[in-house]
Amino acid sequence: MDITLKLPSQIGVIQPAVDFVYSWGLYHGLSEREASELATAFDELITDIVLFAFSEVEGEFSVILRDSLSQLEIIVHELGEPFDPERHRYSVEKAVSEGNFDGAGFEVIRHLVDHFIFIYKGRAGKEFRIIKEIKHPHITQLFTEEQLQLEPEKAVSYQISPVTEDDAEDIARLIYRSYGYTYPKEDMYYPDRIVKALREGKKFGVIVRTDRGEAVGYFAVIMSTDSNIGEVGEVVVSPKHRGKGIMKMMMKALIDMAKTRGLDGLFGEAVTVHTISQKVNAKYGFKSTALILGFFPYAEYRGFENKQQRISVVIDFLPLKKRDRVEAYLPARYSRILRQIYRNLGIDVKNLPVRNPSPEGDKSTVSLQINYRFETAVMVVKKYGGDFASRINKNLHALEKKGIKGVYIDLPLDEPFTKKAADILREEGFVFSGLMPLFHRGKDYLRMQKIYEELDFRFINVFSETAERIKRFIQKEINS
Amino acid sequence: MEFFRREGELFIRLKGDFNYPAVKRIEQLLRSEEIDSFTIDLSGAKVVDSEAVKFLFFLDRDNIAVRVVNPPYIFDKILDILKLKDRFKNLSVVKEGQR
Repeated sequence: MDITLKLPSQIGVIQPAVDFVYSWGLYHGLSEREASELATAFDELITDIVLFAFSEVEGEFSVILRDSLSQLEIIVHELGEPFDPERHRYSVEKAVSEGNFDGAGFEVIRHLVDHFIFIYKGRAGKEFRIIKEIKHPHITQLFTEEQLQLEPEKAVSYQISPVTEDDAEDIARLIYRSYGYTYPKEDMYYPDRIVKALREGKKFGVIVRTDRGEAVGYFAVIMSTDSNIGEVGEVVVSPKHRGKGIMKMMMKALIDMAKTRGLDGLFGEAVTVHTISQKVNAKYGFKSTALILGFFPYAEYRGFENKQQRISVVIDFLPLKKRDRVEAYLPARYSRILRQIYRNLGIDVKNLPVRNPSPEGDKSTVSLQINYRFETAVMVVKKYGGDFASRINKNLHALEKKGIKGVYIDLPLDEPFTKKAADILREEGFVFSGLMPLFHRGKDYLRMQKIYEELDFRFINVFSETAERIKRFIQKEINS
Repeated sequence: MEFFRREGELFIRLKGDFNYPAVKRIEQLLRSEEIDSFTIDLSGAKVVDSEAVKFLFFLDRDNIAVRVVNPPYIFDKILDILKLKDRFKNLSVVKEGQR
């Protein structure tokens, strides 16, 4: 959940705001020391804004407090005078000899949080992000290796039931036993995070147990935060119990649960190290709509030949809401492939014509989600403004400095300017990724991507015909 | 913020954090006072920031004896980050009444 504060740039707001951030940190699981570090970093940041951002006019700044299962992120945005923290580096020698403490606040911030990012957005102002990770106990801290490796023997029968908070430890053990440390969604190794996600309604799922009550299968849907769709994102079947129809049982139950809950669709991010997940998705009516390059860091998959490179995923989508026809502004360079993807979903698309698309106003609205662990960033365009090209360029600049390996941007297909935006992004080095159906605010988006590491396409394995077509298209575009 | 003076000494007990707003209030007090010793009780603080450390450093540079009582954990950490631990001439830290 995001908490948004709008604060006047006055000394009087510093202490109440710092108190609030401290309590917020404690509430979300930080220790007193960690909460004090986060509150101090925040104090340094807003003190700097109050003192220096607005010298002549009365200003205000906004603060977004964003919590996830594993981290707390504070985004501070202001429209004050131009400033770059990189140019204000603290020097103890200057402090001692000249009494010059310039840059001391930013030095403190860098040491007290796990990530500190500055994004200069031109006319749209400046954005500072500070991130503190929440240190939950890992499953290996809760059980011995011997306990964790205990594999349930063959069962006479299996029982399936909806997941509850009481299942959290069993799920984390199941993941560890089946995948070791290689499961890409790290939250699954932390029972506290599983409990939190279930409690907050961020996911729902099923668990399969043997007749002796041992957990041997788990499958969950993670709810999208800005659309009525969910990701079939967490799945595991204990090695000795594979091939017994457990996966099929769980997938059927999940689709039924999703329909009962009124979801518009389900999607899967199937890895391309192998095609097993893609085949399962296809069997249940999922259709491939995109190929996302280098979405996960490299991980070893036992039994599969895999080059040491970042892992790409196929987006497979299962519509749960009937849509026969949609109208969209398809960029010329991608209209053919997008039509084919829509057709494969059983949707007839009308490509709306537009002569000279222009943005609506001066400022673009682009949200930015950074996954620091995966070193990826997803931008979602909410509104096009005249500053679109420079905004993207500035975001890219900040992300590159932070060492981000993959940047993905979603363009709304119901906005005429998307036709032109695709060309602008192409010039920035982005290539096609695919269609993201109903992905944000119930609308379809074109995803484009920019990867900072070379990938060997021979090790990107796709199953469906459409995924193969998308892969060829991307490869051709990269080489052109 | 509570405070009292005794000869050339100023004693302050902060009720909240030791940050810029607190520094501004203390500076106002000091405007009318000549002191040679400054004691601040931080038992109620959870945050000490670089503005506070800078303030103490300037007092120290002016040859005012600085005593910090019951600072929160972050105080030591900030001195460490800013590499100022060994740069004070007259700083003493008192924890729970023990020097």
